[in-house]
Amino acid sequence: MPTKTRNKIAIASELQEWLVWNELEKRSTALFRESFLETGSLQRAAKETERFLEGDAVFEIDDDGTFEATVSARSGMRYFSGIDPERVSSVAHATCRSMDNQVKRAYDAMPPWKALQAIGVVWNMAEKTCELAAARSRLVLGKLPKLASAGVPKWFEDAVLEWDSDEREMLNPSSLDATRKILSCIALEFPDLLAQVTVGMLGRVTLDWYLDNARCSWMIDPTDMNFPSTRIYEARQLPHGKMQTRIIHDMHSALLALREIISESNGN
Amino acid sequence: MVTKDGCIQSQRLPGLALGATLAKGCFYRNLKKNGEATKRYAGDDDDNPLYGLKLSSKFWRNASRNGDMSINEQDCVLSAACSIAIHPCADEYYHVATLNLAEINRAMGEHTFVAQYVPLTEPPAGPNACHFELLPLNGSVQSLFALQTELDKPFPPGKMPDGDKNRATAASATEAHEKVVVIRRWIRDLNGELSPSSQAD
Repeated sequence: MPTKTRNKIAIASELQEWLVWNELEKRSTALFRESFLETGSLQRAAKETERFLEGDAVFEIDDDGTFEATVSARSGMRYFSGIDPERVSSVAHATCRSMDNQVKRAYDAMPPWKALQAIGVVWNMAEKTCELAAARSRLVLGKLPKLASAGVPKWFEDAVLEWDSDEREMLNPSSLDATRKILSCIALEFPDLLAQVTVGMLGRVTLDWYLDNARCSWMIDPTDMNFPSTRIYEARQLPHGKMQTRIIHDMHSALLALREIISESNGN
Repeated sequence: MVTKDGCIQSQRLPGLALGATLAKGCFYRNLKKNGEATKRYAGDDDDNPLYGLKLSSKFWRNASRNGDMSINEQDCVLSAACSIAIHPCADEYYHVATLNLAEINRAMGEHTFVAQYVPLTEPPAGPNACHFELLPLNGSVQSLFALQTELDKPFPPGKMPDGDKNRATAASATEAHEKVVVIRRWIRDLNGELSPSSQAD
């Protein structure tokens, strides 16, 4: 598909083409059904659909990852718009790096009082983005079916019973509750997966998963949001690889993370 | 005889301004008697563990409780025994971990750490002109968690390594770990005396 950005001609990615043609296919299917219902003629419905699908598409990509496609068909111009997740990801990455650089520059080049002000401005913006992400993520989670649960695994409760007084004193009870919910879901898909259980930094429950050829450690931070929202600090490492860290914000992503690391561990 | 006053008087000041940061150098972290240093494998020898010692979960819990990690610069404080002796609650500490900051940063990639100079001038915490705090430069909880996980090597955790391959992997992880942190037990002995031999390090 020929495409052009606001300023220059570009080649559409396979994903972008798929998004547009998938939309076209959906619309043409709907058009066919509608026409067939109206006219009762299979032939006329087929002709009309065929006319709709003929023609060229002009594809415009914006810097923020949104795109617009105009398809000229015999039946007239058709307009589509959407968002390319890959491009959104790269745009978000660039934006965050730019904010990082503002903070680093303030730290490196400004006197302390000025640096605090400059960092505070960026920090507030970032916090607002975090809150937006949390709110929208919660709404998206509400559209998904409830996750099935197998109950808290016995090995975990046994490990909790073995904690000494020091661990119990330091434990954040909300972290323990969150861990039980998370493990209930995991036990259904990975009934044989075990972890070393400790009370770690800030009294958070830490799970060090027993994997053959990889390291994956989770620190369960309580979150204000309802399950299946989570706040899991993950540190993972393959042999001879660098440590990678991230925060996992929902149970669906947590399960996906485990599937990935188990697959990578088995592949080594 | 190691004394608090003697250790304070012999400090070699680092010549840094308040809040200055270093990204390399060796630093002592005092460890409590029980549990802050532990064998990497539970099945290892108690007195002379084949795969060495690591900082335990208890250490990280204690370190995170106050939100900072106090350390003393090795070149300034001169000995592990003095690192303990100048602490306001010196009696609680028996072992010392030596952290190599350049090696930490080499191992940690994006999670860079710095030692920020925070000399302690007033009692009860001070005086201690060798005092720094170990802080992440590019993150907070995520960086500390990454450091804890990195220092918890070798992986995978679990029972004593068996078979030549597993033993070699664990030995090499131990060697790599000891470039980053070396733990010396019993700087203060069971009678409460600071070991004179530790002054030589």
